[in-house]
Amino acid sequence: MEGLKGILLSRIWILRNSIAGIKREPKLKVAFISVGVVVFWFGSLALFHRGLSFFHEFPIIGPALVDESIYIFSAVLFIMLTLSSVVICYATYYSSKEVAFLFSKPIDTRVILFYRFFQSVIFGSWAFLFLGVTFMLAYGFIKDVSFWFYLFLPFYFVAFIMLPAAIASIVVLAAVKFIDYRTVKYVLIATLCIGASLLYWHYKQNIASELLTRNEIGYFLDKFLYHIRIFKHPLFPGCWMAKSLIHISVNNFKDGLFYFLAFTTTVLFFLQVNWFMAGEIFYSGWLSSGRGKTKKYNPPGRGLLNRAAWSLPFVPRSTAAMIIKDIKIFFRDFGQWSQFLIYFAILVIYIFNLRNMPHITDNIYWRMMVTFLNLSATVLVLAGFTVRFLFPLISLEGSKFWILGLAPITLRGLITQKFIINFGGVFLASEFLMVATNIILKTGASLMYMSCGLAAMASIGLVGLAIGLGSIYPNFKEDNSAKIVSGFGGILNFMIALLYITIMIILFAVPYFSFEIHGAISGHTFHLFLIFSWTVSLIATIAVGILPMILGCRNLENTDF
Amino acid sequence: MRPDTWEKSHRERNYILIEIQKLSKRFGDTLAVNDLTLSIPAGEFFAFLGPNGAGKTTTLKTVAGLLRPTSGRVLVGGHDMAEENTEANTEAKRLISFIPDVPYVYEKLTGREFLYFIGELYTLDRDYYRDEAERLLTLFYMQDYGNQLMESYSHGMRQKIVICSALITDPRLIIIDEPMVGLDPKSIRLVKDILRTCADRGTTILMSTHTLTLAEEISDRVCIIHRGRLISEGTVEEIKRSSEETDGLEDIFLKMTAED
Repeated sequence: MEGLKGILLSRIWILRNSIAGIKREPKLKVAFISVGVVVFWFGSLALFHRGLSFFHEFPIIGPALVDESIYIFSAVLFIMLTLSSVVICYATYYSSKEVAFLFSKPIDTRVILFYRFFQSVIFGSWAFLFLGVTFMLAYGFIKDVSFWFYLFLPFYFVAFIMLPAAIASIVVLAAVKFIDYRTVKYVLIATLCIGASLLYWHYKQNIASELLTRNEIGYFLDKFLYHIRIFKHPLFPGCWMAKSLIHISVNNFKDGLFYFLAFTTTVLFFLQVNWFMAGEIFYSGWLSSGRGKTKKYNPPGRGLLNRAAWSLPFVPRSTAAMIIKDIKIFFRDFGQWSQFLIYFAILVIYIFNLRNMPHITDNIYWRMMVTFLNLSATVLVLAGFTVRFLFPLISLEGSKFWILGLAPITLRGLITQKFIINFGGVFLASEFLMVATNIILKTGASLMYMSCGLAAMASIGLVGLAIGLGSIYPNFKEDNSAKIVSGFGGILNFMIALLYITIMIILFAVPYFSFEIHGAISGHTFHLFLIFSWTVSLIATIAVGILPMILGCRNLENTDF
Repeated sequence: MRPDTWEKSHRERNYILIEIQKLSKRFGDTLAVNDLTLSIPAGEFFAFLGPNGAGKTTTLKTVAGLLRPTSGRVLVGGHDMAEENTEANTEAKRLISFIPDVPYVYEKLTGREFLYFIGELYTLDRDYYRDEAERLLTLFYMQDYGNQLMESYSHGMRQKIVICSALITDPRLIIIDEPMVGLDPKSIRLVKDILRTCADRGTTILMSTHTLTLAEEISDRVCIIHRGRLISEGTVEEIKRSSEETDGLEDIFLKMTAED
């Protein structure tokens, strides 16, 4: 365990200095973010409570349905954490300069790996923990569980986040060691894509057709629960934790502890495998991964991208140069494009899934409900996308900002360029999504126009917000875009984006439901309401999208590089 | 294309290209530069000397417009470099190249791509900058590495690429911070010759260095700053005379910057 003490001490000092740094931050800023986090936390608790209450109120099967939700939650969490941990472990083990520094010191390789492993665990699962706690608390409140359930929750989460990361770590260590260094990341991504495709194919072939043959909620639930029985398979670790929680919630400690210990033992086993592999193949794998960096690329004068950008007649040359640079860096950064691919896959699955909804759209209430849920889901995905990929854009210039700071371009031009290019992409994607999903859902012209208009405004608002806040709160010291997002500015961006899209959806859902479903308002009032909604949305879009960019530009002009 | 007349007409009139007026720069509680006043004519090779933390890099970055003064101002060619982004300011930046002490570059671009990127950013003639990029890469023995990502480069190779990127724009003012760090002896000789040739052709060079022999060898005028304050300025001979030292610049430097 040589070096462990030194590493731990350095982390403690970094933590202490970070806390001291918070004390130096403006009190208003700290108060704002603290209140925002608390509001967001209680908001998600209320949302989960509402959702689980909905199931709990089902006659006869209600409580069982709530228990089923724990199995689904554990299984989905387990699978998602495993997939994301593969990407995070790869980046944390093989793309970090700190690892190179640590390898130059007399530190046990296994200590280095475990240090980076625990960093991956914390980095990859804090958001899940944040939301997972609210879900479990909502479950506890609804089921009116005993005190022991809440006491057990911290142990549950600690054990639960370890196993997916430990499995992912083994996969990454083996892949980097035994697969050719030039292709390892592509093999990892291809394996994930093929796995997801096979799962989806299985769902389409064997599950979806059966689920949707009858338009009855009881039949649907029955078949749905039957098909997710794999989540309760005795060999599926996610199921052990779900069972453990459910048993402890009713004070059945014997079974509860049995499943918890089964899970914990498995975690320890996989950690032991990691320990062994760290000693045997981590260092040699790391050495071979470094060899890939001498790959030669085509000269910049050649290639479709360069020629296309250089022949754009309406784009200034300096802007075109920035665009080409951003695109090249994005696609050469595994951490960036792999997560983009996951986003893209989620969108594709979402659109294909909507094709299974026509039975529901026969009913006007459900059609309206699904249309607004679809709108909410789409703008939520856009919000997530803009926060994850657009907020870090200015920060990623980082230590290289001296190049742009000296170049004959204005900072206003730089921000405008980043806005226009990204707005173009996000706008086209959101309009495509809205048109495609509305056609699938067979909504009327009015809803279609409303959805498209709202998506267009949300594109302006969300892109402007991400670029603007990214300029107001840049983090020039960090090269990892995922870490940049997890800072104050990124969290603020996500919270404002959520608030903004919630207001937009409510502004339109209220008149549509009041008029078309409940008949509570007249046609004239409905139209007046819509004019009001569009006006307020436009003002909100300008406030959220344009204002931060103006402030961001001023901030950059006053920043020392 | 760049305006050629800028430096020529200014040099003929012994034009003061850089004016640093009562410049102070504070970082929190630390006063990095303290009431610094300097004038540097066009076409001069001017060296900043000083121990670590003396305020050399801060001064150079302020001249380049990368830092805003806490008080005082810096005029380059008559433009206040701390002004908001104006057309005039943007045009002034076109004539300046900066070579930082740590060569931070876009690691996911190749060296050749980076030079082409600079060429496009400065809207140079494409044929001109492509030829110039090849010439500079060959000059610095980098032509074989030009198509590799810069993340695979050593510190010295990155420094060479940054120097190439500074020269490719054919600037009227080169600001260079610790130019020889990480370079091999052959490249050091090359950079010295290039900088001296640039200065002889009328390009103003503003350089900070710890290598006193370098300053003594190639600069027209030097200044010594210590704890943010200017403590001596002039040609090496003038400084020797004023300090009543007959030995080399190193002895004078050590004497002047000795801690109490």
